[in-house]
Amino acid sequence: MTEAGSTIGAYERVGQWIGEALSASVEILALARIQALESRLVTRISAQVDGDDRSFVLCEDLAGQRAVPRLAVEEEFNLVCALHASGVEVPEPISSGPDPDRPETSLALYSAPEPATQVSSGIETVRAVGQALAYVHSISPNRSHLSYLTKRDAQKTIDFLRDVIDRMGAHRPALEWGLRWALCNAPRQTGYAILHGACHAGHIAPSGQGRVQLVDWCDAGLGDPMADLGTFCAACWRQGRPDLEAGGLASRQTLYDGYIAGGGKVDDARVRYWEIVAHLKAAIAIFSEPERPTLNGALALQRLPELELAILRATSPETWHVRDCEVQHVA
Amino acid sequence: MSRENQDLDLLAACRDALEEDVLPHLEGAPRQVAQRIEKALRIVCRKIALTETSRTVDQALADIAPEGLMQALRSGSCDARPEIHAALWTAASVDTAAAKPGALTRQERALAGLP
Repeated sequence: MTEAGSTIGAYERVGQWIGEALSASVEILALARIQALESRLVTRISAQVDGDDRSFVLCEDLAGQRAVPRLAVEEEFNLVCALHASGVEVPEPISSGPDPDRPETSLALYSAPEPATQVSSGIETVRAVGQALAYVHSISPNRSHLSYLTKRDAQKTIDFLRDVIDRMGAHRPALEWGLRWALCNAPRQTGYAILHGACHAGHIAPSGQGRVQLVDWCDAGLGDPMADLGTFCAACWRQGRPDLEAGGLASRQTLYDGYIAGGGKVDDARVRYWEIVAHLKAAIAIFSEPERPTLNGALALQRLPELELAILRATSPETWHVRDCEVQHVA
Repeated sequence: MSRENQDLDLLAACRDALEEDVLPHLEGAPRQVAQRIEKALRIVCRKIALTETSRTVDQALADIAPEGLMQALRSGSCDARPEIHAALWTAASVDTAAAKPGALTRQERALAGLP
């Protein structure tokens, strides 16, 4: 159901699908693509539903191999349904199913996050993120019947990232150094929680009064809950405010306080470990998308040296714990 | 004048024309695209200016493990070795000096032999 220029496209047909999902009369007013990855499209839809203005987000899988292991649209929808039912603030899931014109393509429809009626401060927002993550991490993945969520401990994460480097034929020694550090310094996995998987400031929607919605769950999996906190604190996601360690919005302690208030327990050393892994993931994601000779793509590649620098700053020789790695120094 | 300097002058002239003659007449999305083009031109200018430094740094990295640095790093033979970390840091600093010079600390500029 891609927009103009692809298979369904026409407003009426998008409206028809949404109308069937809502059992209502729907008129589409506008479509705007907000995300285009190699494996999915995300479109914001403005519509009138039985005469009322509504906004939606439509996700659709695209055929083709995924360079990174994202959830399929239907899997993400099922997860968001489980989280919504558990009381997590996420976009309201409305419907999912095959594209009527392309049954091999899945669609999922959500209510778009409403713009905040009252602006929250960075501190309020970050505290709310901490609380929300603590709540997500407390949900048992077994109880939620989410068996398709894959376990991602440090070893699996590193194996995957190395595989991407190999597949893309990338010569990035600084990243290879960082991956080796991550392997040697990996904390022991003590349990698995549901992870957002890409929890940074771009994936939160402040809804006012110190509340946030966590959006875009396609990178979700099971792993060390500190990984989500680490991603949120990673320097590469601080939006030009390196002094505000939690997403460029507030202090690290604010995030920790929110997490503890939500019933979670913070392990600072683990958070900092996963921050470095978040840098590695962000760097490798830049060249894991299929080659697109676009201006934005070319400029994105220019972010790599800065990410590599951040990794090297954090992985100086004295930070290595090589106890679990076989060290083979060259004579 | 060297070929690199001629290339640099050509790019600088393009960047100046874009900045002075084109950008002021643009608004909205076209202006944003033009600003990104200007940013790309600035990066390329800095890359050309750092060509010789980059060459030296790349050679130093290649000399560390003539059989292949990536494999050496993955195998563990470079684990925690200060001289390798320093060489990688220097290389990343030089690349950052071209891509986003403001991200470098004073120490990193000195490490990479940059003014």
